[in-house]
Amino acid sequence: MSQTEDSGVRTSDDGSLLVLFDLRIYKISAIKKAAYKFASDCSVLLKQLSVDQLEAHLSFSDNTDACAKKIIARAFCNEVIDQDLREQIAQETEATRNLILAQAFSKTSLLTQE
Amino acid sequence: MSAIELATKTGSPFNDLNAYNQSLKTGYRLLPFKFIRLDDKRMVLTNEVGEFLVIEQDYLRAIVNKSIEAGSQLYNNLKSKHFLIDDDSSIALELLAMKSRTKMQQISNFTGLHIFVVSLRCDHSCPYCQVSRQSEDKLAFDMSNDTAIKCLEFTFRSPSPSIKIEFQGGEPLLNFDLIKFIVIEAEKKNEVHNKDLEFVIATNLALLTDEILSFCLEHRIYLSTSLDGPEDLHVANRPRPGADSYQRVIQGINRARAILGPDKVSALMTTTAASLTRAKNIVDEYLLQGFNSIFLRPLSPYGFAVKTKWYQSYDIQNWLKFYFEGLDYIINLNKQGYFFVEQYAAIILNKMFSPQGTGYVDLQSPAGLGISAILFNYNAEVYASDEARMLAEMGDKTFCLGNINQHTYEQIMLSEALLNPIEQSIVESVPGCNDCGFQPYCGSDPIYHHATQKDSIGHKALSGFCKKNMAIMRRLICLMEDDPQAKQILLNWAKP
Repeated sequence: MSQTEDSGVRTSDDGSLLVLFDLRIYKISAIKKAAYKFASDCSVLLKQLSVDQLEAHLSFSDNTDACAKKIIARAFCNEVIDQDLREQIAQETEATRNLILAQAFSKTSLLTQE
Repeated sequence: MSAIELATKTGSPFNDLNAYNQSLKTGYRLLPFKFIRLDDKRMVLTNEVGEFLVIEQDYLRAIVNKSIEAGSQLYNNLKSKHFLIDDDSSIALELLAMKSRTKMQQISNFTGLHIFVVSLRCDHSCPYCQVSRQSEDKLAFDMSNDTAIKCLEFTFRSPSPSIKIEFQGGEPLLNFDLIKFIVIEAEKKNEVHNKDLEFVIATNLALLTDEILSFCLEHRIYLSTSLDGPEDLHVANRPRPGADSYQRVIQGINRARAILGPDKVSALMTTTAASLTRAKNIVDEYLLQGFNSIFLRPLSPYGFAVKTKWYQSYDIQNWLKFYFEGLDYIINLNKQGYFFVEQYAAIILNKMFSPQGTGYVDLQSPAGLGISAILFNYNAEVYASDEARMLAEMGDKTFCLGNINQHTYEQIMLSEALLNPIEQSIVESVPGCNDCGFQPYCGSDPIYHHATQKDSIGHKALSGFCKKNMAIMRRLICLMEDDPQAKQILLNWAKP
């Protein structure tokens, strides 16, 4: 049994927090990267509930109080958004980045004058 | 159309203003960039070549969604710093390529710094010693002349036009005859190789004599010493028989300056638990002794520092508190008219504002292991860095590249022990670093992560190296954004 809290974050009986992500909006890879980045604050277990839903289970050390947990959970959600945006930027600019690096290490110009 | 053709046709050498605003019609494209939160409200955007821009976080999505209005101040900032490109800025890609190449130029220069550990003996008994020195009477810990000659042959195989030979210990002056031998032999070799050759002795100065100073003067040798702060702190950190380490180092600094010149002597400090509350005292001591800079350094996880638990006596958060207290104090000194630099901040600022990369091994991608600096130990073993031999003295030879008496230059420089950590230190592909907004200013420290996490790549969320650098980079950017006077001071430090 778990208790619903604000902004889609629920607290379970053992004190861990559950965050539900809509996979139509967020990429799993972005959620994974955020989980990796938060390893010093909490451990994150990911469970895909359906094609469109993924639940992140955030577990904390015993000395983390409820307020700190909420702050971490919010920061985790922000990080997922950031990671999602990073992936979008990286994908969109990948060809340009490769061209710049190729040009940087080339002895002839790879860029047209137009 | 040339200006002459234009003037002939229209009567004016200038295009109509609208000609410079093609982007109003065609929009813009993003150039590669990364971002990171600066604080609750602001984001830092950085591009491949280290240019940065601080924006209110609400604008980030608008930038990515291409809804920034052409001609607005934000648009122009993004364009001038190469975060976006439009039809008016076709030169941007070439400029970025050129800047990328310049930043990486140092890699093609290859190994510049060659460290010779001429003796592991030492007259001091510092509990935080990271190199695990041996007592003075053990001649078994001195480098031999034969080994030194082979190390010199290796040194001059480097394609680098600049070669710096640094003598380390222990206390290298305990084997000064070997230093003399190496300097003279190196100069002879250099008559053929014609490199920009430089020598440094890293010494506690306690054993400095007129003969040594005279030799240093004749051969333009620099001295680098340790000064941990005021007398009580220095003596407690760096004990020696007679409890006179402070007196000797100050006398040594003054004598060396008088004979070699003031620019030939530099000093480094190491932070111990006893230093943590004394940042201002330590900076004041450097001012008192006539230095115009200080390098505020934490302890490293090697040697006696680990064995005696001095390394574990404070964590990175404690050190950062100390560092920022020192940095704030130094900036205030500058505001009062004293030119005084914190060197670690200066290295990072250089990475932010200089077209060149840094020679600082830990803040390079790939790490400077072997390819920027290499170390010849007293016993003929070759290590990827100073820290690598510190680790070896603790029984871990992971980063031992070979033995100068047994292996060729090619075998050592192409050893798995060197190539693996170099490959693992390319931050563009390291988890946690590859998408970090501070990546252009940072590096990876495989030996630190191996020592602390038993993994050369390391988990950056658990890394003291990462916490330290992220906090310092955030603070420097905040200072430059929020305090115009501090910005001017920090810009003055960013000189290569």
